[in-house]
Amino acid sequence: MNEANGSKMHLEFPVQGGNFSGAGGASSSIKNVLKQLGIAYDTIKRVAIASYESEINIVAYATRGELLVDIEPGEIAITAVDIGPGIPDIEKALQEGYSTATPLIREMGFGAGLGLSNMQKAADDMVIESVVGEGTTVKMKFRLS
Amino acid sequence: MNKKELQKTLSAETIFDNGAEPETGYNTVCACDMMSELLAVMNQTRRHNHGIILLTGLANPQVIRTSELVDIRLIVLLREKKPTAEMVELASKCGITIMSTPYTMYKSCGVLHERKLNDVQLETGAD
Ligand SMILES: Nc1ncnc2c1ncn2[C@@H]1O[C@H](COP(=O)(O)OP(=O)(O)OP(=O)(O)O)[C@@H](O)[C@H]1O
Ligand SMILES: [Mg+2]
Repeated sequence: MNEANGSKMHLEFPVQGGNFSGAGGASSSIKNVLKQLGIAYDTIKRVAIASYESEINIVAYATRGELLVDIEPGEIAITAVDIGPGIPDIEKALQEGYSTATPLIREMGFGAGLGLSNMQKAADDMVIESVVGEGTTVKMKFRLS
Repeated sequence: MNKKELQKTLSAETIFDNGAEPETGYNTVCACDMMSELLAVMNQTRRHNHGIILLTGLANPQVIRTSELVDIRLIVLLREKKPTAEMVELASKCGITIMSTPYTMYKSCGVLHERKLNDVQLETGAD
């Protein structure tokens, strides 16, 4: 799972769809790794927020997925991959306020339609790929200052 | 403000104490019922958040998890809401203090504003 290879590191964290009680565990682990590596506070916060938003989206909308973390000199990449319903209209999903969250998701304190735009603001670069009926991949990059 | 003063100001009960006080004391308040909103607000701050008090009417484990991820160390549950056992366990793992106040959101904000606590400093937008 955790291969440190010179100055590169690759980590993988499974995320279970529908499991709200475990939601955030992967992002919390990622945050702790970055802290141990001595990454700057501002970067850790941006990565933690974006990774958590993507983890919550997997829990809320997908069947299952994974957070992949790639740490290299100068850059951290977080890729949230899931098997799930996919996003039919990505542009619409990115709009603040657009949400298909169920009452259960709202009860957990989510579903304001802010997650994807928040991820986009936190990351230096974000690309969403999605196939309806198959799943979604969100790739985010964070430059290390 | 330290935890004892906060407890008095809000007539609150401390349910779990992380045993620490931030160097700055608690000097900032974020009042928020939705975790989506809290994340959006925290995404606009650049400083350490250890002096932030989160006032929330939401009592579920995601409140603790979200706070941990944005470095909030003190949560006040409003209107006498009590944390579940799962929340307390997670809070103790994450080192987050939980209090419970009988006050509403409005009254809690009012008394803390009177005591000159700050709003969260957003990096962009008006204050
Ligand atoms: N991984 C995903 N799979 C399928 N649909 C998704 C996925 N991520 C997001 N969506 C869709 O895009 C919409 C917007 O997502 P976004 O994260 O911005 O907001 P939200 O999850 O609805 O609310 P918030 O993130 O503020 O709690 C969702 O309501 C959902 O319809
Ligand atoms: Mg979301």
